[in-house]
Amino acid sequence: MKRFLTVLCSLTGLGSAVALLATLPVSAPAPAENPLTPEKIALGKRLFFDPVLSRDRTVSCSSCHDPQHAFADPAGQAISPGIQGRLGRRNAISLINAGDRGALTWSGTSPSLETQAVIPMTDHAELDLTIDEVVARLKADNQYSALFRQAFGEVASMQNTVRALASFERTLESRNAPYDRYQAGDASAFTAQQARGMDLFFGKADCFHCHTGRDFSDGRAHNNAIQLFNPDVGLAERTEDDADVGKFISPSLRNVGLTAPYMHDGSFKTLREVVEHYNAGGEPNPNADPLIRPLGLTDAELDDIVAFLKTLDDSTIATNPAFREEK
Amino acid sequence: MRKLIILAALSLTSALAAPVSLNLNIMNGAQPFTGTLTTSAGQSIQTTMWQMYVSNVALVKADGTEVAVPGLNLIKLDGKGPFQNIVAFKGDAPAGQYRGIRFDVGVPRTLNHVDASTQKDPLGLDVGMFWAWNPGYIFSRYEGKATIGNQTTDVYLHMGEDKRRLTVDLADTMKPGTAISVGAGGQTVNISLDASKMVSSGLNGGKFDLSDAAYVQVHGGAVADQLYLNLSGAFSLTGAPQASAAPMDMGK
Repeated sequence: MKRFLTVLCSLTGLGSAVALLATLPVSAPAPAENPLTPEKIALGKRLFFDPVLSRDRTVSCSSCHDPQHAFADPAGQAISPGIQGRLGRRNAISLINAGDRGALTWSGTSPSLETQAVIPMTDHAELDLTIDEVVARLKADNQYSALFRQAFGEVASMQNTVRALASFERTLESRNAPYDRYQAGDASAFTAQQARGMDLFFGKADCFHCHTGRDFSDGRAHNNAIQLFNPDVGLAERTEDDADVGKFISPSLRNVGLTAPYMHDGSFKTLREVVEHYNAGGEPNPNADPLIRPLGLTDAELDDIVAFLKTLDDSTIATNPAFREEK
Repeated sequence: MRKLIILAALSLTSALAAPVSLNLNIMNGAQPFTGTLTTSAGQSIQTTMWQMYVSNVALVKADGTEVAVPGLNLIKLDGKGPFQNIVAFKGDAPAGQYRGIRFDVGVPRTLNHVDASTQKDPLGLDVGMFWAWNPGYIFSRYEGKATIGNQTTDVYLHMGEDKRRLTVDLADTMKPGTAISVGAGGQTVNISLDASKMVSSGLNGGKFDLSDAAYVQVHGGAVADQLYLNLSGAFSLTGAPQASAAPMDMGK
């Protein structure tokens, strides 16, 4: 009987399907055009940490998306340098749970992780390669050629490169923070101050209107009145509409205690500065979201909110071997 | 009876789809373009790439009605050329007499907002025509190198977005005569593109001056609008080609 079942599984392909399921990690849903496979994830992970994708082979995706900081900028860096120390304009967004987001980049204008991955590879201030150069470099590498054949059954292309990177990014799922334990019924996961901060977050401080859902983002672009004259126009870059100047996607607050500094340009160094900004009602700005107004929070209440925000930090990210470079 | 057969044969001929091809010649004013573009401010740009989409093609009848020639093509040129006798588009249309042709430089709106990572070439990511930060295709992507002062500068003239989908209308229904005759064997339509016109006019009646950074790296905004205006007058129908007798080889 056992032998019969084994034969049946082999014949139906069930055996390989079961093996596949056993090796796939928890992940965000993948698009039909790019189903997850262990081979794609492994290739994407290698590419993610490999400076081969930068012009002078000095910078990789992980240079700005550091696993030690929830895949956001390394400690304290407002803008992480690309090749030759070049600085772009924006703070690197955490990639944790990025596969569940619909609006990617600070202006929310990339429709998928696959397409978004083209931006840093070709941006002159980041990795600074052309699409043709990426493909030629990977085709010339025997190890990568073999990995692309295993993952896609064909040679390297930009389409397959971004599909592999996106596959790895979809595995960067993590919701093991004190907040999650508290929501699951563990009252000891919060201090009294953190519980007060949560009430303020979802009440008097109105944070939850933009920072909503399980990852604390509405995925929409808002102007949060931090700078009237900002050289980075945000959403207006795509729409060319003056009313969209200074609008940026609400970032997820997951792991916000690990990803300082803050805002699209990293101009706020601490969470305390961020909540003080919102409490003051921001700078005058014709495009400011109507919810940006003086909140009348006391110093103690601001401390409470900051304490609550730190319950969204998942300390297991930095130690998860699936998220680290394989040496 | 014989008349009936001839009539039936004639109507069948006019209804049959024949291959139609757009043959593009890029010019520099009256001379063939060789890869060097000179702006109205007198700066030279050495072309390294010029790619553009052609879609929404239609042949225009004398009464102004149109016959669609379905399809989409990406013209891909590097700095070496050739810049003449480029197959800009191939499709099928009913044989007949037409007053001219109309086409778009761009990708139809229905395709312009798909995720390029899900598409095959020429709409996939590998052709480099999708703005990853901006869901939409670059309709015309021109790149080159110019020497400004003592420095060699990369020039990027990228035009895209729905509002800059350029409809090129090369059909004049006010003038009698047949501009394009599509026989049973098909027809090659010769069109020319005067590259110099792309950099002929700057903003507010000024020059297209690369010493102003706004003209050097163009992705959107007012200078992209100017590129649209400049290119809108750069195409023309050349010659009055005759119907080809033999069927075209669509495999080439």
